[in-house]
Amino acid sequence: MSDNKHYISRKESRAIARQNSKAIKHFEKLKKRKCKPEEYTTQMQDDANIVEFDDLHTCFFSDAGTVKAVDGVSFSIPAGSTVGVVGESGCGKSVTSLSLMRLVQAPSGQIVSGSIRFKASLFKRDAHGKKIPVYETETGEDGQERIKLDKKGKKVIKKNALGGNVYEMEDRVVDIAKMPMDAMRSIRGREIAMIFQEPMTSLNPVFTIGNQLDEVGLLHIEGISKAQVKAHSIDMLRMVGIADPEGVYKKYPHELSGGMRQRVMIAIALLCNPKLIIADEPTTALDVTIQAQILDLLRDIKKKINGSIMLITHDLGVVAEMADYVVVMYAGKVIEMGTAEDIFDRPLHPYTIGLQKSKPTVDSDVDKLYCIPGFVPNPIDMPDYCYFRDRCDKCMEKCSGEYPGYVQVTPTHKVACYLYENAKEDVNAK
Amino acid sequence: MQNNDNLQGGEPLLEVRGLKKYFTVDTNFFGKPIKFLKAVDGISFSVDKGKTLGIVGESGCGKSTMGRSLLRLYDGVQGEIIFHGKDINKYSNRQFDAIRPNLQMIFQDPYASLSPRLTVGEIIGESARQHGIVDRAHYHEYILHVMDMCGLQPHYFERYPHEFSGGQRQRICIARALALKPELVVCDEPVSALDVSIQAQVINMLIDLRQSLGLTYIFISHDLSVVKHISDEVGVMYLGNIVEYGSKADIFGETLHPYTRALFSAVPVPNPHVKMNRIMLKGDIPSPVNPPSGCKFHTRCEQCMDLCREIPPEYREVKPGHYCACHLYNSKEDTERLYAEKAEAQRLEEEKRKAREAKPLYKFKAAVIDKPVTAVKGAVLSTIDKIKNRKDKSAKDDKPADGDSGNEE
Repeated sequence: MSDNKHYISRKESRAIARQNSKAIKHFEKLKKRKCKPEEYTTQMQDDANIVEFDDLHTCFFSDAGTVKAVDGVSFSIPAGSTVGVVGESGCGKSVTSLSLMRLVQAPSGQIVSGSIRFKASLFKRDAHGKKIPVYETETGEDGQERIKLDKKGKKVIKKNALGGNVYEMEDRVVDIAKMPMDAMRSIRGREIAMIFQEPMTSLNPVFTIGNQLDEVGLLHIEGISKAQVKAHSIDMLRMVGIADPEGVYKKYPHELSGGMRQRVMIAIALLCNPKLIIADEPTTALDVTIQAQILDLLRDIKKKINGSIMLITHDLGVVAEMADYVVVMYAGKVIEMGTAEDIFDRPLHPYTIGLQKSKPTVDSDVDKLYCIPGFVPNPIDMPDYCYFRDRCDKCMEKCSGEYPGYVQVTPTHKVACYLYENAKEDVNAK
Repeated sequence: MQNNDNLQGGEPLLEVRGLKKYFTVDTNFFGKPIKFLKAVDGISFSVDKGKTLGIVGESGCGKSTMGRSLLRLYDGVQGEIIFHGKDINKYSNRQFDAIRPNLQMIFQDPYASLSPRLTVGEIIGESARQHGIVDRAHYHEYILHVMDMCGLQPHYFERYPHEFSGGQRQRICIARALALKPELVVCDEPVSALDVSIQAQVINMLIDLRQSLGLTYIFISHDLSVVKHISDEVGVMYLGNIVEYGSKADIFGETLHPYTRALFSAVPVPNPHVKMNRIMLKGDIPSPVNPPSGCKFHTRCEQCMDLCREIPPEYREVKPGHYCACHLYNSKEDTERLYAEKAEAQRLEEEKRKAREAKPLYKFKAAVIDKPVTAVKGAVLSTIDKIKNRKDKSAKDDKPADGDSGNEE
């Protein structure tokens, strides 16, 4: 759309609708298809990673045109570390995480291309697609091990510490972007859990806290009894630092404060011992004092469950405190990534520099805040050149060309800007 | 702005003494309020012309209620709000309308505070026309001037709020407030709904406008870094009270109150090398309906003493210009005096109670009610007697009849 045109003609609108319905049909079909696990099994590029995003494109087919919310995002989450994703609202950081959970608002939102590789431990299945249980063994009178039988002569399935059945597992790398929806269910909640932004709206007001916690346990831990689930839920509530877990178990969400609700959300996420926790702005709706408590809790829990955290936030302070690696996003693309020290000590991209300068801090004293001029370009009609060109104060002639590729400045630090194409050595020297 | 000349040197533009706003939570059978939510519980401060007072605190501490009370957006506000030397809290509504343009407010949520049915020009110009800020001939010109001042382009005049982003909407809100040529603007979290880069734009604009128009701000925010950037003086609120108040340098340099210290240490710093020695506050902010006894902060305070649980601290000047309400800065005499005062108060209470008990309440009851009671009693007894008599009579009458019938059988 040009600047002086603020509407879409009827003809254009109809054409867009036709294209959208065609595209949506195609992607919805892919989601529902039945396929063998081999079809979505892949290999990790680096074995130390738990998640690898590779050129992910997620689009929203809206009535005004196609919005490329995530436009070629590639980064990875190493096992046991915290990765912070920073960016302004609308830059696609939440959509990236929702793509990983396959929770993008369908039918308009679809993963168009790219892959998300995830190291999952899935149930081993027999030829009929059923899980293979592990049976309890006992030593017989003759001194040989054999499978234990109950009174009716049935084989007894082995139980784990929580009281759930033990099945044979296998570690496999899967491509989440290509998985059908029914296979995704064994990963979502069990392997990857998500803490949502607003604890007020993500808890169901008509069920008790205990009800909502138990639901997760009953769904994902097979063979567990209701009493065992309840005990486990109360344990989890205690683990997230709720003083009176038995009391809170019986309460409704409206009876709790914001910080308590967020703790409950974290407890729900932790219930199945996930490998990866996605925290989507976990502290945005909270006060600073409560925020400090929640961040402390997340850090503790990461150590306890030995998992990874993908932390999505717009607060640079929170990222500096929590993250080992930082990914900066702008208008659906990753513009800079590196370790936390890289990003905060030696920011390279003009946007990252501007973002850091525009935030007032308690320590420093400045007369006037730096502000990045202009606005984020319209997501429907993105330019071909660097998306930040019009707001950049270090804009060069070259910037009007195609979108800049990544420059590997140091082994851990990558930036998408023409400024550093020839200046690798200089930056290293600094 | 027009009234600048009236202001005498040294006199603050706005002075607030003992501001209170209680919300009724529960009433008794007759509709008399018996339970209160003390949102603002006795606040005093003053703001000089051209200065900015920053108010920080957690959510639910009453900072927004305070801002709204200053503009008389609530009924039943107690205390004195002295603006230009006059207590505007005692004004009638009509009197207050005349000075309302001088006191304006920028609301928190730019998505909720603009009418979706009015164009930007109408939103900004509506109140200016109502209060007769400009004559009709210069109206259009004036609105465009205000829009230009706030960084809004002239062709936005005919557009509707939904066409704008959050930052632009907040500019419209600011333009609406400034179109009335106010002297005091209460900014209630004007930047907390905005992105970081847009935040910087709006804050810079507010500072520029303060200089060019000579505005006075009361800047309410939960973001300490923003408050530090924009304010000259800072007040820290906790559960309806100001616990610490002073100049920016005092508050951020020599923090006195334990709550302020904890609040500052909780702010995340965008530097991965800084590992902060954090003072972690336990639990949540207590309910203002049923606040803790003594110092309201004692349930979460690390340096809590016995004294804190019993006696609320005095809000007083610890250093010149630096106020704080905490027992930590009491001298020995102060503590003794407080204990003595409490004992005195308790004694008075006890005396009062005794006096109340000693008052012949039941005598009064007996005097008035005894008579009717005896009267009623007498009446009842006599009626019972009558009935009895009649029964006896009828029994006597019936008996022979019964006997007769029995004999017959």
